[in-house]
Amino acid sequence: MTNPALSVIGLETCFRIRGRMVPAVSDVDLFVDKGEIIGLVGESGSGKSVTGLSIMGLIDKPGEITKGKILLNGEDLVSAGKERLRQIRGARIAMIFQDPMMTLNPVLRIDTQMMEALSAHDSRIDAETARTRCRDALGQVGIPSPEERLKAYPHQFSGGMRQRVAIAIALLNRPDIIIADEPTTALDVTIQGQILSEMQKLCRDTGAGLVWITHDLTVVAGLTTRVYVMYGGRIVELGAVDDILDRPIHPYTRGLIRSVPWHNRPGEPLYQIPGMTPAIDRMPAGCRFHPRCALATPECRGDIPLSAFGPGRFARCVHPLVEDS
Amino acid sequence: MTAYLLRRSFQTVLTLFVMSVLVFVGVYMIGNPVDVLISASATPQERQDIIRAFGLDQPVWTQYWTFLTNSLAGDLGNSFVFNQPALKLILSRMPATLELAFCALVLAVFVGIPLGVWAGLKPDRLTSRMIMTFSILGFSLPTFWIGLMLVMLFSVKLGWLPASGRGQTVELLGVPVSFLTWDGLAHLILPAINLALYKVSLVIRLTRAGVIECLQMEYIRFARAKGLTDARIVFVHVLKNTLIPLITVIGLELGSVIAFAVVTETVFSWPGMGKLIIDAIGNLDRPLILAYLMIIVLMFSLINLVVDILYSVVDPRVRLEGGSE
Repeated sequence: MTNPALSVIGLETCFRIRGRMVPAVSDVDLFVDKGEIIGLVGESGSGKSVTGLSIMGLIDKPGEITKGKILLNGEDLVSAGKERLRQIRGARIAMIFQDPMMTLNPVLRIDTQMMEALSAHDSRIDAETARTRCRDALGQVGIPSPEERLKAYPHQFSGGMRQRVAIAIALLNRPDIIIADEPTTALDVTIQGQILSEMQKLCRDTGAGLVWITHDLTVVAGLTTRVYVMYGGRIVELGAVDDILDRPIHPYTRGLIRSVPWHNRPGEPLYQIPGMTPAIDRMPAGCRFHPRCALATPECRGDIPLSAFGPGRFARCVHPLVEDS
Repeated sequence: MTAYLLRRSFQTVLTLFVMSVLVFVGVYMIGNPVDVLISASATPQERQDIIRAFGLDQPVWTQYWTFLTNSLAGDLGNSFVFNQPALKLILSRMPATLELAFCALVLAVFVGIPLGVWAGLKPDRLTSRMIMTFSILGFSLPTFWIGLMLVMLFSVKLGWLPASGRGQTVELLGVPVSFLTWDGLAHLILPAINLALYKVSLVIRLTRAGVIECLQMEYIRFARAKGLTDARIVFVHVLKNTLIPLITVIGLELGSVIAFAVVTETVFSWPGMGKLIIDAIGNLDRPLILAYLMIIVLMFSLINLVVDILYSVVDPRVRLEGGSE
């Protein structure tokens, strides 16, 4: 294995709740190769967004990264200073957020919001060069007549177009890693499809690694090469996308897959995982999923490590769903 | 834009008309000014002469009609007491009040906004708590009491600053102003602080609330993800959004400062309009009261117009109705 562009080792991020530091994510290990697209999948509250924000160094008080390393091209971001982090953010590693209606500042023009992303990392860049690069970036993400659109304000764009602007901003400095936190969830399906295929193309062209955070397995299926499934702040299963979708090992992953209503016959009741995602200060001991799991036994309350089920294939379960030997 | 201004002007004229009717009828009903103006020893003949001279023997609608036609010609009548044109009297006192009001406003903006931003950015700091305590005091202590305390401390005890009057004035574009001479400035400081204190408190609280709200917005997180410096985020992204509600409030407050500077003007014997109107009400000097209120209404309308225009400058989502896109 060559050196990955991004590797997260033993990450733990805690939040102070009623005077106690409670881990929102723990024991998170993941890596992204150059140009690779990985999926980070889980329900709301599974810790996938916290993982993304931790990588960006955007965890605010009362939250804090308490353990682990985040290596970007070998440089540890957890121990990096505030100013160094700022230099890396937006330049070497960029993020796209869920709601395109909220990510752009309503009172600033698009050119202001794009050009500042360039000048923040290169104070000597002249306005003309910056403008040209912004215009090209808008064109690259499929925004028609980019020259005019630069002068527009966010409210003059549709949701899909705003997300394209956000993507263009994220790509401006040709980052090594892009974290995309459910960027298509708020968009309708046709726009979602366009943006997915464009992201795929852009990553291939620029060689950026992409971490696609989502709860939507259908998105993961077409876009990613490898998938990490998160539950209760931990990675419970990982592997190549086809393996995960065809032969889930963890009962939670199977539950997630069954929750997608694609094989349903009309009139048949839809499948749902019983129970609720646990609150972060009331995590069950051992396997976090065992209170909702049909296969749970007393052993599920003990410590369960990630164990290998083949090359690049791991799961955190004592009752793995493996039929064949 | 022209259509918009025309419509606003028409609305202003309408407001002035309605206002004049209300005030005229109101003042007419309060009492007979002749009883106040004439000494008790006057003969019935003298009394009749004065009533006729002021036109008070006419029916109220005739009196109003006379007022209306005269005021359209720019003549708002002569003061009963001073026997001078009411408009001239008011305009001669106006610069003093305007100067005081604008000084108070400038103080409110340049002291209130920075303190409010600081308190909003670092709400847990001791300095922020002190700022907020100060603003509560500024809100709740009565203006006249603070005025008296300022005089007691700085004029009587320490003898640093004069307690009354405008001091030496110089003409600026034909208008006498105090702030261009040392003596005038020394006279201006205490009343301006006194008048500004409430406004400073208001601006602090509004700014702080705006900053705290703005910092939680997704676009601020996105701005940080772009790697912008804290200074850029605060002074461009946060401040511009916070200004939107501030402009409305400051505009309205400017109007009320001009119209109701009476208390401060009384405490510091500031020769402004406030003193004039109080005396006019005491003497039932109808033309003066009317003229004063008309001018105040006009001023409020103008300020509102300026606020609306500024609003559309700061917030691109606001388009003035009737404006050409």
